[in-house]
Amino acid sequence: MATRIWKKGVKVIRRDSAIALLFLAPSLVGFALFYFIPFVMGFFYSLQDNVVDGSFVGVDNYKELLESSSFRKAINNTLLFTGVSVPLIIALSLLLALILNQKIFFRKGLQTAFVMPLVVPIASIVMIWQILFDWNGTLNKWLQDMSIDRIDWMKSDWSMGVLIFVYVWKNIGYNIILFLAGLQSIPSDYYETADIEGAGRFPKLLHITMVYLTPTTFFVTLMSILNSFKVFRETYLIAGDYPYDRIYMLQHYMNNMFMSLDIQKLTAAATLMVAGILLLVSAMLYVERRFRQFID
Amino acid sequence: MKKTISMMIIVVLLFSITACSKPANTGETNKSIDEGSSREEAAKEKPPAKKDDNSPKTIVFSTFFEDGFFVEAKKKYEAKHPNITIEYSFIDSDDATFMGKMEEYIKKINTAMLSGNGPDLIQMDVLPIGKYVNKNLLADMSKMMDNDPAFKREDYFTNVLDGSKVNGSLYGMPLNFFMYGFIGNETVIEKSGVAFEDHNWSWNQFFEAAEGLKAYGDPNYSYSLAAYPEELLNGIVMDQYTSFVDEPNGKAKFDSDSFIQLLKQVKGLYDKGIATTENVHSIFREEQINSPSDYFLALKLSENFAKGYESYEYKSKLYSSPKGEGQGKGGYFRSYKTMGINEKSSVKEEAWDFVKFILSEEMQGSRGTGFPLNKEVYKQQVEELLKKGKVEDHPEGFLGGIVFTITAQDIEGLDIFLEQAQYPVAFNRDQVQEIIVEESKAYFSGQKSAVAVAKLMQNRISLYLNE
Repeated sequence: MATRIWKKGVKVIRRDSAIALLFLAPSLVGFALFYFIPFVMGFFYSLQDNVVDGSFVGVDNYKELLESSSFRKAINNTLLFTGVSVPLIIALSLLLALILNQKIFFRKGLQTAFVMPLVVPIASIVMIWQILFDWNGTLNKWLQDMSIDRIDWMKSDWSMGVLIFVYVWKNIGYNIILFLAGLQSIPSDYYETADIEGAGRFPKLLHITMVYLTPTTFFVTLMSILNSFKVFRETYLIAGDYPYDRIYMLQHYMNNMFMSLDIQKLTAAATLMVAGILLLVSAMLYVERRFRQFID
Repeated sequence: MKKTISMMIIVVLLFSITACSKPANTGETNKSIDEGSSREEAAKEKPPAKKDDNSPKTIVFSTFFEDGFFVEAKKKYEAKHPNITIEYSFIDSDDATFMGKMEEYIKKINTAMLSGNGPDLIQMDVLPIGKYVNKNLLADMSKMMDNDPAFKREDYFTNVLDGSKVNGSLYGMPLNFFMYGFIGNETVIEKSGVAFEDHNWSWNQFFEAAEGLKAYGDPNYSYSLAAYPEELLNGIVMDQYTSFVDEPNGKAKFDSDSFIQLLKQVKGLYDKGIATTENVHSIFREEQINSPSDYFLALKLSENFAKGYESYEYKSKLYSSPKGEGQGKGGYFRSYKTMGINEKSSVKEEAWDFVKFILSEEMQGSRGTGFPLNKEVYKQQVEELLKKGKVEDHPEGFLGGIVFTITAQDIEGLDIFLEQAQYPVAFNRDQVQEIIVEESKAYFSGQKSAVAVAKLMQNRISLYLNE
């Protein structure tokens, strides 16, 4: 009996998927322990009125959350930021990748330059940003020297522009690398055939490059969206926990709720945000799947 | 195939659940304790528990940094009550790491309190006491005082106790407090003929008096106040907080005409030369007074500075700080070493007994910064000082160890001040104050207009109020 079970066990383990799972187990455990289980616990907290001895209050916390005008502002700002910065960074990084994919002077050096921001710790860079964009900072000094009125970069609607700039600067290198890999995986036969048939540069770009780059573009867009939610770190380091209300993001709200001990609103906000991201990502994945079927 | 995958996932999940069962377990044991000691049951159970006084108990007591006072208190208390152990914990920090460690400490205690595992007794000074009270994390000490016949309110500065109340009850017991007031040059004021009732004067009355003093124009004192304008503004706004901030409705009124008017008024003081940011001797000077000897020293030192100008002798006096319109009598104090008891603690009674012990003459007499809450100890301090008949400046102080003689008459002014102090000054600045100070600087330095600065304040403070 025991040997039979043992044999069966070995059989199960021998299977590829089982082995794969075994290798995945450490990261799955880590994910469960540090992300998934806390999140589920957080979700339950969001339905209670107190962390200790709380009683079930249903969606009261969510109602209260949506009544907070600062929370609504945070949602608007986050959506606006993602909506503007993601298309911008995709367009810019695609353009730069196309340029870098050609034989141009100093190509290697340029590639390194674009990747540099990824490896520089952001905390060390933030001081430079502060010096640049402060009311009494470098940029305003230049403006004054050119006898133009100073602009309060971080405390006017310009602050959103500054953030988008920082975000693009920080993340563009990663996107360029992904696009370059995508470009190099397009078989050169396609271009040669097109050349023989006398296709121009633009049709080649539109009908070969863009089409075969679509899976990469999906991935890059997904990563850019996720990274755009992470811009809080830079904002927080530049402008603190209560910045000008144009750059007040969802994570500002959550961070401040943690500091003011309002775990209910914090967990409710986190749940809403996860739901939002989940919806967005699954919609994108669905479109991508449809597109793959279409290509095949 | 699918089955094996789902089996594996279940195993993985089980692993992670068992791995995190430790915190979950402690949470549960805590819950059962809490259930056992929910208020009514606690009332029934406590008397037998009290008879059984010898059962060993542990009070977990937490402060931000190590304080010799509490180390001594722990030793003495444990010697008197052998069944009680006080587990005194603090965070090691030095000057360089102080701010970072403080944030770490606040986060640590916040999380522990919210999960119901916090220390039994906490020094609240650096912690957000208002937020703790709103989340019902602290025990109501007013009830404990009322139910304890051994505790005599009249032995303490009751005005400070009443002033420290949050939402009508006392949640933090200050062991000591500091006083705030304006030390003024009585001689100049009398000569100028400017009259005012300082015990309940408003900021506007203070400004009027200052204008009068300017018009009189003492040759040695051209300024009435030496202070930073943003700090002055912040103080004025805090005194009439409700007319600028409607907290229940989340509305700020910093873009209103009256606030812009106030900004201009404050700047006007500096433009007209009534106030200054320079480090000079002004007719009035805001002072934090830490002890009876500190009071004498502050007065005497300010007179002594004045003696340098040989035209005539000056005499100093302690005046009340100006207040908001219609705020009424009373001065300002700031509490120090404020003790809070965890509402979820299972040793509340014992913690309260320890608090009473550190308030007693035995402990308070020994040492400590600030005025003692215990009146008897204060009287002793004053008597001792009068017996000595002199106060001495710190050897490394401005006048290098100068000695002043003092008389019983000198102390009279202070007594009234201590009895009347009733407005607490927060230990830490809150977000609203930070924003006011930060944003108004650009206006006072002439870089931005009053309207622009007011709008920025309105923008950021509204964000804070509506979270």
